[in-house]
Amino acid sequence: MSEFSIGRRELFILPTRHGWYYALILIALFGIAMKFDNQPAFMMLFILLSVGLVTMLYTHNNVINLKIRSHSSKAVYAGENATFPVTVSNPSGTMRNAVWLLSGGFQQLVNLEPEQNQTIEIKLPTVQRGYLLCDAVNLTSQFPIGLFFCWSKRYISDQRCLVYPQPLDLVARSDSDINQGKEETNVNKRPGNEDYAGMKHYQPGDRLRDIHWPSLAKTQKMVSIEYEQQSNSSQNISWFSLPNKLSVEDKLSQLCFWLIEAEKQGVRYQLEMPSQTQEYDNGPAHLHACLRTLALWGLVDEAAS
Amino acid sequence: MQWIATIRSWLPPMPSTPPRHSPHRTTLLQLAAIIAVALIMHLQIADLWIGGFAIVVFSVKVIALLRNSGPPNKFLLVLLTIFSLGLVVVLYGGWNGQRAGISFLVLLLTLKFLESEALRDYFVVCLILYFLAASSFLFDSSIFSILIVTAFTLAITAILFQISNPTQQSLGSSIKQSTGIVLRALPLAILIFFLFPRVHGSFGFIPSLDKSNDSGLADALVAGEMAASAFNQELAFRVNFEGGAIPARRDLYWRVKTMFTELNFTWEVGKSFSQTDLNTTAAMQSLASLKQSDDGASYRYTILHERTPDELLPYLDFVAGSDVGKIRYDYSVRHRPTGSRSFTYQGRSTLQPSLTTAETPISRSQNLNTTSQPSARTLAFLDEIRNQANSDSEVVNLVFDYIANSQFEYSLEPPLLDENDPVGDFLFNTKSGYCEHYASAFTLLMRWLGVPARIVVGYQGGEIINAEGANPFLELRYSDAHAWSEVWLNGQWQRVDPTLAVSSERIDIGMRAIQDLWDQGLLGSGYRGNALSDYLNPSGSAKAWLKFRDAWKSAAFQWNKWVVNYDADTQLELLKKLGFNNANHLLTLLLLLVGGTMVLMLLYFIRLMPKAVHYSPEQALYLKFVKRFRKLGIDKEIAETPAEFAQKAVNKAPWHQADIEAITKAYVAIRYGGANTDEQIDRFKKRIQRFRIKAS
Repeated sequence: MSEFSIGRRELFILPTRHGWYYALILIALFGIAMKFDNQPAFMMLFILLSVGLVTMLYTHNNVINLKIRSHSSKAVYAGENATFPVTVSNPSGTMRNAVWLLSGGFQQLVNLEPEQNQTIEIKLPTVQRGYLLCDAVNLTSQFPIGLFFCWSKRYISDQRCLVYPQPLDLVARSDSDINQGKEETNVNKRPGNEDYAGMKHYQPGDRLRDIHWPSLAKTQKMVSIEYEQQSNSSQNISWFSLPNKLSVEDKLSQLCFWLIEAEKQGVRYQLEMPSQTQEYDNGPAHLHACLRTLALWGLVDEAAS
Repeated sequence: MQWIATIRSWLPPMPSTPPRHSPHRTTLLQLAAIIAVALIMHLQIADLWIGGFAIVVFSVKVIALLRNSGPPNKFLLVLLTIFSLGLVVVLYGGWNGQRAGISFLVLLLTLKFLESEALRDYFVVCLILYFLAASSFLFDSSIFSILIVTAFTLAITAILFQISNPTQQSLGSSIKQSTGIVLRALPLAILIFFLFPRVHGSFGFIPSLDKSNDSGLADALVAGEMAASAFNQELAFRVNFEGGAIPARRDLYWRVKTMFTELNFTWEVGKSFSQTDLNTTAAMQSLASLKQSDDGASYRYTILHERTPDELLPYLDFVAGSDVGKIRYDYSVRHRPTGSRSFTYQGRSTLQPSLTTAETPISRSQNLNTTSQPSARTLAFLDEIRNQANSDSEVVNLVFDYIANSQFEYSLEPPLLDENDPVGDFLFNTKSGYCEHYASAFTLLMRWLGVPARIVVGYQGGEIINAEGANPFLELRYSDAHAWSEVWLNGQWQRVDPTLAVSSERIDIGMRAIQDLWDQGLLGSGYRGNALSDYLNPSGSAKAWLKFRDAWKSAAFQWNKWVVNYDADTQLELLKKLGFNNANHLLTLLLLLVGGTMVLMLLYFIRLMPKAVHYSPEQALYLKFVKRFRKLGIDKEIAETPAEFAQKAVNKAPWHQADIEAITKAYVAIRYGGANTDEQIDRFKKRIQRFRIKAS
């Protein structure tokens, strides 16, 4: 997506707190050297002063010319961590040590060999649905001896992470809501009739009870049990079927939950909202379209963009 | 705190602070090792009690580190701090003085180390270590100390490097990095050192100095007491003659002070001056100048004097001009002691007195006055001399001849003299002694015989270092201290060195040789034999050793001249050598300092700037080719091989399949297949130039 190269104008440098202590020591040493008129003490003072100056260059050059490139991020449910993948690359032939990548509350230490790059998933907490923008990304470093720290200009990437509403099962679903569509008529309704169909990789939104925990222990991979819905039934997931006592957000959460259930059951389903309707279909793309509608519900500006 | 907010608003937005990390245990153990070395090195400076206490505190911390336990509780720390402060006050009676200061630093270091827990604490420990390393220069400024201190700086920087890095660094890499930093810092430091403007004189501070056991020439001379200094091998001063011409050994008499007050066989530097002396002093000062005399018969030299509490400075006889202090009627030069450090001054001397003439009066009574009386046998000797001599000069010659021809012996360990009649005992009985005995006896005899006389105390000879080299200089030690007499003849003070009558070797070869022979038991009645010639003509290996020693001494000399004694004058000399002769040398210095620092920093900046990776021509061409695919949203990841990229590109842009495959194949062939003749690269280049990207 977008790329940010840290040039000289994008890099700032200041002494750290330790750097100021160091300056104090130098001043004290200057006093001693003056008082006793001791030339070797002057020599030592100037050596330390030069060490400070040289490390300033080291610190600066540890971050200069690094590149940050952002990648598109996957949608998540509210409450999960949004991930913004960025690649920090070192196009130069010099090793870069102990560079911190900071973004909001996220911190990651980066060490880069010459010409190496490292992809980091910036994880930021989500609290509400809609588009979440990545916090400004800084690179900062105190290398080599912590007298100076330099930091890059804030990089605001064009990444945005779609945050679906948090799936919540708040109200029981009345049977009448199911298979209520216009086109799709009641064929073979077999609620709760789930047949084991196989294993699949875990996807966000899978029910906890469907996770096959023994495989997790064995292979360190999340696997969930997939059920096959023999029916060719269809579901109408409708805003209007929700009781009015629920708040908007709760309604969206409930709809989200039902959508996930329906997708899991493999049935065709439609999402009926006051202003728009996602027609009957199924599959990941359809689920995403429905969830996106929910995520952006009422957020006019962002939906338009 | 409004101003902090104001300053913050000017700055670009700062990042949040990265997480703190705690230092690694191996790093801390390395730090402990460095502190241990620092403690051992400072044990000889600090008091034994302080050193012992510091070692105990240090051991507690090391044990805590090894057992991985935290710092001791606060109450104990407060108790230890109070105890150590009390210790300093009790031992040194306060804070003033270098020794108390260093002790305080040592205690501060160990207590802070004991207390340390977080990164910041250990950082402060490292800073105290830097400071301690620097302040050790107050005690030792030799060329060795700079090596030790540089090594220290390197080690502490390596520790700081490890501490400030969140991931643990190996000892090797941290030493390599810190060496890189210090090696780059050194040229910069040297530049700043020489160009940082030095100002004349002190800055109004009064150095609070400890009472030191600095050697110097005593203000009183008792026959038999100067022998202690004969074995003091400490350096007194070095002399660098302008033009490299060193006078003959017999002319190398370095006058420090004259003694004309005699009290019970003890000679003292006079405290009261007659009006005549004051007049002479004024007249001499108006004549004195550093400028080379017209006839060229004077020597100009620079003296690098070690630190001394003495007010009187050595000058080659007879001083004709000096840049510090005031020349006095007796050709001694008095200055304000600098105390804590060694210093440099310039002088000009002529071998004959040039500031006084035969008309210059002296106060006769002052130089004839004696309080001790000759014994009976001495009186008989004096009568004999008086009967033979017709003039003062004959008196002088007769006494000199008597000493020369009466089996007197030069000895560094002469027998004790009879307290009631030391002169008689020496002249007629023991007949053994060194310069002091001869000078004081001779001078006293002269006064008893009515010839005005006085004792001069100073140095004689010295060791010529680097004699054949480019920059020979003379090194004088306290053991070269010498005493001789001056008698008033024909309206002039004339030097008579009775030691010359006894042991011309002392003068011709130098004290060093006398001592070496003495140590080997070769000095005595038979010392004119082979031992002396062996000494003077050393064998091959001994010669090599001497050469090495000379080289080392020359290095130490240059170190002292250009670093330890670097001051406003030397700086001016350096500027002149560099060709800057303008009047406003302060401005010149500042411009050079700022300019030089900036040029060097810029040089480092460019050198240290991370360099882009250099590409071969075919790589550059291929990357150009790859870059064109960006328009189609196809980008090559760094980790992708050309084949992988070709696959990806063909999938996304199948209409370019033929070009992509051909170019990739050619590139792989050139780069990895060895098909890299100019012709093939040229064809590859043309092919890429022909290639145009299309949207579909």
